[in-house]
Amino acid sequence: MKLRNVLSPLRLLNLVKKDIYENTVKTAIGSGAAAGIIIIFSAYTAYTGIPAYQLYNKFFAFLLFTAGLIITSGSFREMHLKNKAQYYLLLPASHFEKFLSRLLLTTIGFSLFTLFGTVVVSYISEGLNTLLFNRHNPIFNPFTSQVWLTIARYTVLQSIFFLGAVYFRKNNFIKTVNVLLLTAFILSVIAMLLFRHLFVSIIQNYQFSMVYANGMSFLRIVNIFLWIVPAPLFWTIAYFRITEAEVKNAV
Amino acid sequence: MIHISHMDFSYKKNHLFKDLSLKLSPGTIYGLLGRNGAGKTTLLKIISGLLFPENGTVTTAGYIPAKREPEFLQDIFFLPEEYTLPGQKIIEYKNLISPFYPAFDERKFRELLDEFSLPLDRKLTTLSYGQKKKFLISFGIASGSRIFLLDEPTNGLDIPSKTQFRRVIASAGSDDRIIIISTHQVRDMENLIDPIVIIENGKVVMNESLESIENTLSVRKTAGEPESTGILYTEKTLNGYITVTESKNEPSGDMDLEILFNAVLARPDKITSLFNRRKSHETA
Repeated sequence: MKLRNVLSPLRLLNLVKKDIYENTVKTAIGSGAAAGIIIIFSAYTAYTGIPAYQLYNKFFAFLLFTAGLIITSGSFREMHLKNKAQYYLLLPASHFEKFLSRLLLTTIGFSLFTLFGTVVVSYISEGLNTLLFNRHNPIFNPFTSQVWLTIARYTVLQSIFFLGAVYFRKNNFIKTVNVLLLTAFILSVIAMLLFRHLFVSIIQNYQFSMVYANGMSFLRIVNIFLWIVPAPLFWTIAYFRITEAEVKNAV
Repeated sequence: MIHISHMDFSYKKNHLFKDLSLKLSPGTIYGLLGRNGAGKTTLLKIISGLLFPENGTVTTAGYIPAKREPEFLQDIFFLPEEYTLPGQKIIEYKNLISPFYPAFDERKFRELLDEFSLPLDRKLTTLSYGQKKKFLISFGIASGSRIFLLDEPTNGLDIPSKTQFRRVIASAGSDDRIIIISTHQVRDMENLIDPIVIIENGKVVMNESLESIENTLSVRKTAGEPESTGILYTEKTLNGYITVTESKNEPSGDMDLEILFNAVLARPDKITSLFNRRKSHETA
């Protein structure tokens, strides 16, 4: 396979431009509504004097996870729609470019947009509060580890919703949430049963401190695994699902 | 240019194509005919890579359509029967989509829009069904794609637009371009499509040029009931009868595509054998 049939920077740029342009109105309306809500809320806290601890950090995380995951869930909508699938599938760009464009926009693109938007809104909002009430909440600081940890967590979770967007044909967000809840429940039951039948006897024969130390090492490994493995895994599966898309699967 | 060999395709348990083989060459405007549900649209979708064959091979312009490689997609334009266009102005759509087609001809696009009286600043969602088709035909021709697939293109077009359509498509033909028109409206396509491909029961029952058809079959109009010998197909009309017989090298009447289509569906095996016999005679 020729490289130019896999990735062309110019085609990718055109694709990103097209995707942004086609979503400009929806994004503007959504952002405007979110900005309005936070400005009103911040004004209320400034007016009443209720302390709003880390108001913008919470707002940023809420917006990133709710809007980001909903947008991600709908990122391949036209691929599943009968009258739009052809337009999308026959657009002269490679599967990888179509995949990468949506991936970049819903991860880095949306995170940076929300980050920048929150900074701007916090300055506007707190500027207004100072003018109107002579009192203001702390400005949003995007350069804290907490903010970047939120983005990292979002990216891992986003990969699951990204796969859901490619995999499910309708109601992608709800279905992905259901799958996540079901998976969490099944894993909890399995973990409980494993603990009950395998580890109780071990715990009884060893010193608690030793078990605790081993358990913590194990948890650390699981933690690293959960940070590194899921996103590349789910993105890869999503990519291969895109290559297999046919119009007969559209609804 | 398009080569399908021993292809099978089915929708779940509905086996549509079984061992279908077909070769289509550039420089012509093919008419793809078949009954409802014969698989005309499906065949176009397989040729364009929107559907994948289960068995057999399909190559379009040297590419495997199912891979949907950009170089292949730049070279194919498919006008579907049903579609939804984005809520953009024509000029916006052109600016966003034309960069994906390196051979896009801006001047040609504007010429065709003028011909169809479509202003660049009209929003696509405000266009009528027929106008949307005209817009897509204009874009498709201007895209410079060598493979142009049209599914029921005259549906929704008024009578002057059908004439316009025939003129535009006829002028879009070139030696390296292949145009395939799938249609039920064969009368709209007369004097435009040649050769004719007819699919029936999952197979290609005819893939012949009009010249070959006229040399093999003869269509006659008679006032009275025709003689029963040698008739392949007959149809009663208001003024008498139209019959299809084997051509005996006498001058044939104008080929009526609708009658030809009905005759082929009525006697597929007999008519196929006539074409095969003629070809073997010519080869000998």
